[in-house]
Amino acid sequence: MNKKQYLQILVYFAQADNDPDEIEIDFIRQVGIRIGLEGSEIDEIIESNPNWEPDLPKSEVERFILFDDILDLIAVDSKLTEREEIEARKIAKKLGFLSTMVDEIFKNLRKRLTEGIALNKLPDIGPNKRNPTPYGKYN
Amino acid sequence: MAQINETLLHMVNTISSVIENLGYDYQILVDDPTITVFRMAIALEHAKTDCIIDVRIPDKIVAVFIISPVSAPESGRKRVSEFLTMANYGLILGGFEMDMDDGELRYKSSFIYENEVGEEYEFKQHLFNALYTMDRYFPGIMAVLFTGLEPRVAISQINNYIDPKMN
Repeated sequence: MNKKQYLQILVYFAQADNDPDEIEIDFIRQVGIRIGLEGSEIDEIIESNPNWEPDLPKSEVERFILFDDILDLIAVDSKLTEREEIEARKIAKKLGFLSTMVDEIFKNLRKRLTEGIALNKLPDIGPNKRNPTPYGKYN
Repeated sequence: MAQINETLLHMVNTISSVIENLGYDYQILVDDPTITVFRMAIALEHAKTDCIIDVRIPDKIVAVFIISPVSAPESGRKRVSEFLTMANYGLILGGFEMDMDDGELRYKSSFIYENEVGEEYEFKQHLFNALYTMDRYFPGIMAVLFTGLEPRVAISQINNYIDPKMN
């Protein structure tokens, strides 16, 4: 999956409630910048009206990362609409995740939104410092 | 006792300074004469986690725990323990662990400290290592637990993951 397709999927889910607001659009822009798209490319994708079936990642790890981005998109406006939840459940199922995971994630998401727990952001310390090189074998 | 309090205070001040400089909100869960425990909620790229920092006197140990937001259901604990064993092999500064009774998953990184210059740097290294390691492996944990993916395949997918920005 290339970076444009990745962002198109987020746009698809942002439009699931037929009314993506500025906060959701801003989140999509941030994701677009994070994955290295140009501003004009991001605008083009946001302004498109994807009525296609999303092309989903094949790797389960990448699928979870996509699902987590969708959850961030859903929660960015500090609201959780019924429509958004239904759409997220649909995509979770399409991505092959059991409903028990979605149940627990949504339970935590609702709790966080209800309690207004402040989330600190992970600092970007640069890709080379994120994980030390693993040790190997010595014989 | 006075020495213990002074030592604890020094380390607690160092940790407070680091997390305040990062602009983080935090709570003090335990504030005893020999133990101080910090708690912070941290949004990783791929998970919303709780971070616990446990400072213990007289052991002079600082332990950093990153708690997974999702626990392992009983049916998946053996399979995810295989995944965690594979992940742990080769990790340098800490490792994953799981409570087999309730399925809680966490990454732990700990170190012994002295009253020396460099503690702040040392603590930051452990904190960032713990956060980024949980972030790297969490999608694999979820895939193993909730899609039935084989642990070895999940590790391979993590090692071969290409960030979309590279395409």
